[in-house]
Amino acid sequence: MLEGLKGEGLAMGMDRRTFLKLGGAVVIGSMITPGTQYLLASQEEKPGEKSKTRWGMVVDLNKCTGCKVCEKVCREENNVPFYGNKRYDAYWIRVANIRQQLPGAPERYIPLLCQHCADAPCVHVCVTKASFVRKDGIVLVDEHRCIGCRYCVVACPYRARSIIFRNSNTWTNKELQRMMIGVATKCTFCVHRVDKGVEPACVEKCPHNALIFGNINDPNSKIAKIIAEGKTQVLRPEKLVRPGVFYKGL
Amino acid sequence: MAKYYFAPIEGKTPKYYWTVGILGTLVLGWLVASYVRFIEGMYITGMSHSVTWAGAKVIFVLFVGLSAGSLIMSALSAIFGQKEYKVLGRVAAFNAVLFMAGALGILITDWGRPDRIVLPFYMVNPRSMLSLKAYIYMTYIAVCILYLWAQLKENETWTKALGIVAVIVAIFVHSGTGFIFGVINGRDMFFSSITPLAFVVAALSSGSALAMIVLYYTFKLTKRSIDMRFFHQLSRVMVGLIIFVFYLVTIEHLTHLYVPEAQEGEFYVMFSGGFFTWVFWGMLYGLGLLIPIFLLLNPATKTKIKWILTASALHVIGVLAERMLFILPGQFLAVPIFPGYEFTSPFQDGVIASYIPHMAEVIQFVGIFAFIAFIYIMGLRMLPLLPVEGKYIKDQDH
Repeated sequence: MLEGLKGEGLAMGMDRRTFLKLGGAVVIGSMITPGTQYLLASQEEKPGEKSKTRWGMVVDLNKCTGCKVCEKVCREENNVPFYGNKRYDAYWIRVANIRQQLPGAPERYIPLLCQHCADAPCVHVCVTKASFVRKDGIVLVDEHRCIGCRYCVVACPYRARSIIFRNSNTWTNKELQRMMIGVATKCTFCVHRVDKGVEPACVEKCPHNALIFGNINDPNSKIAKIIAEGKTQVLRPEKLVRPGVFYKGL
Repeated sequence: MAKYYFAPIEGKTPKYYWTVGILGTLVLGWLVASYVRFIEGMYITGMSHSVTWAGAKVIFVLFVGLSAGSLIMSALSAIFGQKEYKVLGRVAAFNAVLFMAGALGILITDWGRPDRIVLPFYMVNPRSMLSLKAYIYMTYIAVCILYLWAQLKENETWTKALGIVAVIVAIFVHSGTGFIFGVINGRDMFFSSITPLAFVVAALSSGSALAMIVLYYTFKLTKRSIDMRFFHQLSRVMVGLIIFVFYLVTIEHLTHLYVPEAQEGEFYVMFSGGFFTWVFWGMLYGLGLLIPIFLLLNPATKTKIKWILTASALHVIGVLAERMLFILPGQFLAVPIFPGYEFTSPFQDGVIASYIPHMAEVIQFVGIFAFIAFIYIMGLRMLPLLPVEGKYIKDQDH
């Protein structure tokens, strides 16, 4: 239809009005088309018991020594900027210190990252559907669609999201683009590696093998067997968000 | 009852031009600050990863409330046909449009990517309250403008019909603003089903308070006379609304005090919050609620216009305090990922956050108020909003 109109108009000599109309149609069309694409992409089936793959992680706290190698390799792999200012430094994975409030309780370390919830609150509240849950359970943010309203940051029960507060020169991994200013970012489970069949960078580089990555819906996988032992737990289970990251030995 | 005739103001005095000039400069400042903030990034604001919704959101919520409140006040007068309220109708409807425009202005310039303004309109996420708002706010502004237009055309039927639609949409709009916060399950200080109601009632009370102030000073500065009975009647309605706000705020804070999830936050607000404790007891309960209730119930002060206006101004400040207390301390307290544990990390986990607006934000906040005042005085000159002469009945005690 558009093609025909265009050809005819050119052949007959377009008047100003037709030209403007056509221009408007093209502009609106180009605005809507990428949108519908994303719309269809985000209507994929939800990760659940029935889907074949759901990527997940087990963090074995008995093995974690708090060496923060995961923080470092994550920055290098994903170009996560570090400005040296506590107020707005971005973290995709952070190693927190926890100590039970009991006399004599030891200090322990716990890596915290996006929990890749199946019912992710950040995805529910996203204004432009920039956040979405992939069929395989990975929660992602489309940086090109995010408007930086920060609703997801407020809604996340785990504080897993970082806003890029400032222009970043960090570009250690040329395979990925640099972080875009003003948008929300978060751990992607190194989706670019997972899609190639490689484990996330933090899992691969952890010197103590405290992080275990795998398909939690495959009963024969290593991770599913660890979870089946019944010694793992999720964080803030009362929020009913069905996280994909499990902690062992908390 | 005499019919009112409406006309634009002359607006040729030096005072008028000076006001336009100063306000215009401040608006320009808002635009420049917003642009710098967009280019440089949000690090030039006082926000952090703990407090990502800050001053701009407080002003946004306040403005949506003032807009909804003044529209409802205007429309109810049109529906119930109170003649004294006719003088209010146009100005209040115009203010409703302005405050909504101001609210959207501060909302969009608060985004990290205001250049992506078209995205929310075709990427609607029905599960997100803020996403639905893109269309709800546009509907609201359209209804407001149509309602104002019907008034300007002096079309009684349409004014009434659109007035009813406007009231329904306005209640929707402001309940929705409450829902934005009320549905956040992850934050215990936000998660509440009373928020939409509290927002609507506070919107009505602060909206009518502001309508009285704006109307009185507009009439005074343009040397018009006004029927004082209008202020007396509206202040009766307002005191009822303020008492209702008092009740809703109190039960919300009491609920927080009695449940373990929000107890820590409530203790912070009530006792240990420093500035915010002052805001809670002094600005919200003292200035914002108790003093206005006293002034509007006390027989010695309730009929005097200056006390009515004082009570109105204090109540608007109180509602600002309520919005501030709701949004800011709701994010300050550490998210309890590990209850019963000491919890620290480089990402500022387990730390009580703070927020002080930086220069760029302060310019934005001042600018957005100037923006509303600027369009208001321009509108007075371009549209027939004010009556040429009001029927003046002298205030007995004035």
